[in-house]
Amino acid sequence: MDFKDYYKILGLSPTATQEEIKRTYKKLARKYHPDVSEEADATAKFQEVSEAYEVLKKEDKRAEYDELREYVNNPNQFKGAGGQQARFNSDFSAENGFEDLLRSIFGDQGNFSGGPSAFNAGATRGFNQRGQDIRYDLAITLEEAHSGGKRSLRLATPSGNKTINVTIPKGVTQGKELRLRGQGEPGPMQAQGHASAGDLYLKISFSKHALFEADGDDITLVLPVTPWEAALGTSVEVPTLGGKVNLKIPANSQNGKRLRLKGRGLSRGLGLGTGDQFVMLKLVNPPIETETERAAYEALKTSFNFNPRDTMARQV
Amino acid sequence: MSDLAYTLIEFCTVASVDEQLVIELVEHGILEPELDQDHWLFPTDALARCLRAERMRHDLKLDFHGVALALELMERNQRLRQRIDYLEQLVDRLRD
Repeated sequence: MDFKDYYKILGLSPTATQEEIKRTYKKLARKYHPDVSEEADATAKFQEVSEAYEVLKKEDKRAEYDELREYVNNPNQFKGAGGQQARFNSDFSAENGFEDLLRSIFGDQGNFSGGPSAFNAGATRGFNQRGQDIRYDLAITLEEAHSGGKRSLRLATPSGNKTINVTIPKGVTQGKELRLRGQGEPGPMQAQGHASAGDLYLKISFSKHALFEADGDDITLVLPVTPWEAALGTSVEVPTLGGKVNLKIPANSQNGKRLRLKGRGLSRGLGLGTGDQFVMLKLVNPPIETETERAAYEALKTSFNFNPRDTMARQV
Repeated sequence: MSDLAYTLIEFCTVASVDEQLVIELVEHGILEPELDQDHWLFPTDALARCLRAERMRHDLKLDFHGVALALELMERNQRLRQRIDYLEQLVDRLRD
């Protein structure tokens, strides 16, 4: 096992006080705790920081570690504190010493790097007979969230690759976790009695859709319309997750107007109804390509006595 | 996957946690079971929340109030982030 510089991991000087070590650990634990952190490698970082703290928090273990550290850094001129040179006889290696030290702190379960993570050990505290839970992110389409679906997923798990079939329930929303009982890591072989497997958790996110944006259970569609459609009103066919529907655009609609298609959003779950689809109008001016088109805009100009900057002028 | 809800006893068995702990979590509003007649029913996602709360309590040395506050702030944060994502996407679509 490679020797690790715990002071470096905590970003502290080797002369740091116990108080400084404790304070730094608490700060880093909050930063990297996998349940709190947004850092990509939070689990590994948290594990490293916890391990460093476990070793350094007790004066006697820290002294042992410091001695090893000094030996690793200056193997040739090592004198040993308090005349303990005899401990480091010819077949001594820093790696073995380091492993012994970790074993004396964490015991034989291997709850330090190389073994199961300290984090997972904590997570399954009190039911160590169970296999580890595993977590994955799963991006689904809005269509799947709307109507439900089935997926076959290939997962690279600590115990190898496996394929699982997942039913995506109708109405699942972003950030929700699907739990697949018993699809996590198998229980430890040596465990007595019922060594049930852990669970698999899939955290749901929505992949980007070509037309729709989701906001909770509601869906928004930005609908391009011409100035005359918006001004005169019309009826247009618009897409929804459940198929096309007709939408009435009232006369004198402005750019950005929001129209509601009730119950055309995502399901809120059993018995809770359904969200809505909002249609936001986006006025698109056709570019002038012919003289007739130019004349049409000119006619608008002379027909209207309209200044959209009226209110602005009054503010200045 | 099951969409079933757990009774208190089932929940404690599945999560391998103590009944007293679950009661504390409910009293602090960390778990919010539905009331069916006069007993609690826990939705399946309460399980992940319970284990998460326990890890935070243990690893970050938080008390129940601290866990409740942290979870609430994190959830608020997540809702805000989703809202910002939504609005940013909408602005992009309106601009294109």
